[in-house]
Amino acid sequence: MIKYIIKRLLSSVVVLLGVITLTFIITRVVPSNPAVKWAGSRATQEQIAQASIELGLDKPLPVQYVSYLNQLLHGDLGTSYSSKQPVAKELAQYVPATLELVLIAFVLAIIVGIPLGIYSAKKKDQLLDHCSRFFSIGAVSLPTFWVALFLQLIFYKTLQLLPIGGRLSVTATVFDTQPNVTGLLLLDCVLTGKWGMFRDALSHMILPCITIALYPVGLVSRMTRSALLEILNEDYITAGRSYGLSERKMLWKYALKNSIGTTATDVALSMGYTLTDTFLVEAIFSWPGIGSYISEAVTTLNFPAIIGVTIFGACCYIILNLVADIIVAMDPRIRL
Amino acid sequence: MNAEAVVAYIQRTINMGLGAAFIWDPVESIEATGEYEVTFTCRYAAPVDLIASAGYAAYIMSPNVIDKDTEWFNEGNDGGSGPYMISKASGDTVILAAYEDYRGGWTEDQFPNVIVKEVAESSSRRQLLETGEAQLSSEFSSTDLNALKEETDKVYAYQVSTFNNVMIFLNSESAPCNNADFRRAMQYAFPFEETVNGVLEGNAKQSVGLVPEGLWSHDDSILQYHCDLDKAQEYLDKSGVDVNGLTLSVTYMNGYDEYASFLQLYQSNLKKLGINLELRSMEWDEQWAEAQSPNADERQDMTVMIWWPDYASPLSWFDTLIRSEDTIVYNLAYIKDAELDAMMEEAATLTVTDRDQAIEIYRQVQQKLAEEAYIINMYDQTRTYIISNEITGVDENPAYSTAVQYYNVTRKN
Repeated sequence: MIKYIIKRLLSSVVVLLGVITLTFIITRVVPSNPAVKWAGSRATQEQIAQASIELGLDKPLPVQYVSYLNQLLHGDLGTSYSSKQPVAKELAQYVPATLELVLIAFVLAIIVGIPLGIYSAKKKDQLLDHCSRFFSIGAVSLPTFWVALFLQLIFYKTLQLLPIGGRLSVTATVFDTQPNVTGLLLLDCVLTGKWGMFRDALSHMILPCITIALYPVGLVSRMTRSALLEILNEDYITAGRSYGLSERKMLWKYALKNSIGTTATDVALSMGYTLTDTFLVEAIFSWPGIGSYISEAVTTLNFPAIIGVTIFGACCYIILNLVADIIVAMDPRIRL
Repeated sequence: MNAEAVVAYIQRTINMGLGAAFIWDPVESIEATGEYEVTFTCRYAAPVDLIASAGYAAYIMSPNVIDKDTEWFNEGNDGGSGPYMISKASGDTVILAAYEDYRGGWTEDQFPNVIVKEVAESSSRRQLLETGEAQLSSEFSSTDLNALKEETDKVYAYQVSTFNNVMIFLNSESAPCNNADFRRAMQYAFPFEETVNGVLEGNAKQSVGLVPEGLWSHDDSILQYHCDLDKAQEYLDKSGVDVNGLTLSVTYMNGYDEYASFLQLYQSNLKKLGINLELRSMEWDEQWAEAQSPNADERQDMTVMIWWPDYASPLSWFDTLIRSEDTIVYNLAYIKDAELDAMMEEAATLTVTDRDQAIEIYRQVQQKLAEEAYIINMYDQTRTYIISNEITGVDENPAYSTAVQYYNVTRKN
């Protein structure tokens, strides 16, 4: 197992290098002059020329590439063209907000999706199964932005139960200070005992979490159902039942354990996808996360920010892929 | 704030030479000649009063902070002398708190706290206004704007002029736009009325001349074209240009739906005249690079550009967009007219000593530009604020685009 993990880590480094190289080349090939962006609108020719030198764009491409790799090795993701702030610092600001949202959404997805999938498999072709399948297909099919706008309309505008967006209410923002221990606001509130702010933050999190959780709930429920149905037809399940083991034990202890591998892989990969694909949800809910950051960076061709987020996304995928593979590898039926 | 602070800031800006520091180009030296008196010595005649009131590169900050860097300011620190201080600043929210000792004093109906929050989605901003959670916003989609205008029991719409105007520059150094009659045909083919009333739904005003309405030297008597395909055909025939297989290219900035919309209308009109128009959306620097190509035939035929002044003077248009250039910068119609250059040179000097005469000369320049049809002056932008019925006093000086003077905003009794 250790050898397997080391092998995977080494191949991950190669993948990461490939991603870095590809994004570097693309940003140099796209028809746009970073020096103009750096110098700002209405910059004079002299200012643009100075910006070219400052950004090292006057040097040959291989030299720029080596210089960039050297920067990355020192944790320097470059400087944002628009804010003139280190991209690493900005990511540190925005990533926790997205991480918190996605983590909670996926916990929700697992808590809801797995039991739904299990009961759907158990009650195959009965009403619960049909409803669950209808829900799952709807959950993965509905466009995220539509769900977000719909939830806002119902829960904020019509029922006035939940806030429209943001991470905290105006009152909390003005009259209180947001704790900053881990960057995960709910956890930080718990750690610092700010229970009022905790409730406020939680209420703000509900709608965006539900929006993000919908797709993985549908996915997890479907995958769990399919995997379980396959396993429930296995001989050892029949044998277990004939030995008098309870249905609950058969399902939750034996069948589920053997079906979790596929589901885990899908959850891990879809989590990686969601981490960098939250821009619509974050835009609609005014959530100050990485989705908002990258959507602004893309529309303004802010290359350092784009590369920074790409590297972050690649790292997330690599880690989550590895976690998924390790979970699968723990299955003794799989030979490494 | 005193003369020393003014000198310190302006000198700092000139020394840094970054951003819009070029507005201080005319200034040779600056000196505090009294507690509240500053003397500028200029290399040439320049409207220092207007420069000093520019929307950027002319803020005065405390000498205690002028050595601070961008990071310090981005942390939410400030060093001004206005009515509000930055209380908190995060990625998407800035909270302003009233400066108690502000020289103008405070009344009970003014707001001690102002929260400026970024809400990207138009529909979200609309809902916040409808529920009363927000009191002021702008930049709505046309659907949301029209819906909000109907809710007169909660909000009211306030449309302000800006000094921004949107133009199409015709490549007058390359055929066929190097033909004046052809350019006039292009003017008459443009769907001015449909653009303002249809595409922009009345949230703009057709431009008259080069200078936007509200800025001195704007003149409503300048020749204004209107959409007339018969006249366009007339000038096309007069030009002698063979339109068989003729394709013109127009470049415009990415992300502006309204540009794509009015250009499609233009494309349709030109098609009726037998001319194809190729629409190419791209980043500004890519457009600019193409427009700066040394070979005139390799440049686009038309460039859509928005312009606004560095400070409240028409000089920005004339000096930057019209004056002959040896190296192409922003004169993207490639106008090279010695007579116009001389007129603008004279007007620039007279701006300081005899403004009325400067205005008359600028009027003549604009008239000639319109007759030569180098630039399609499409529209002056306006901005519509949606404001809660609970507040009043929201106003915007077009010289300071998007800057609301919150000190003047009060609760309605």
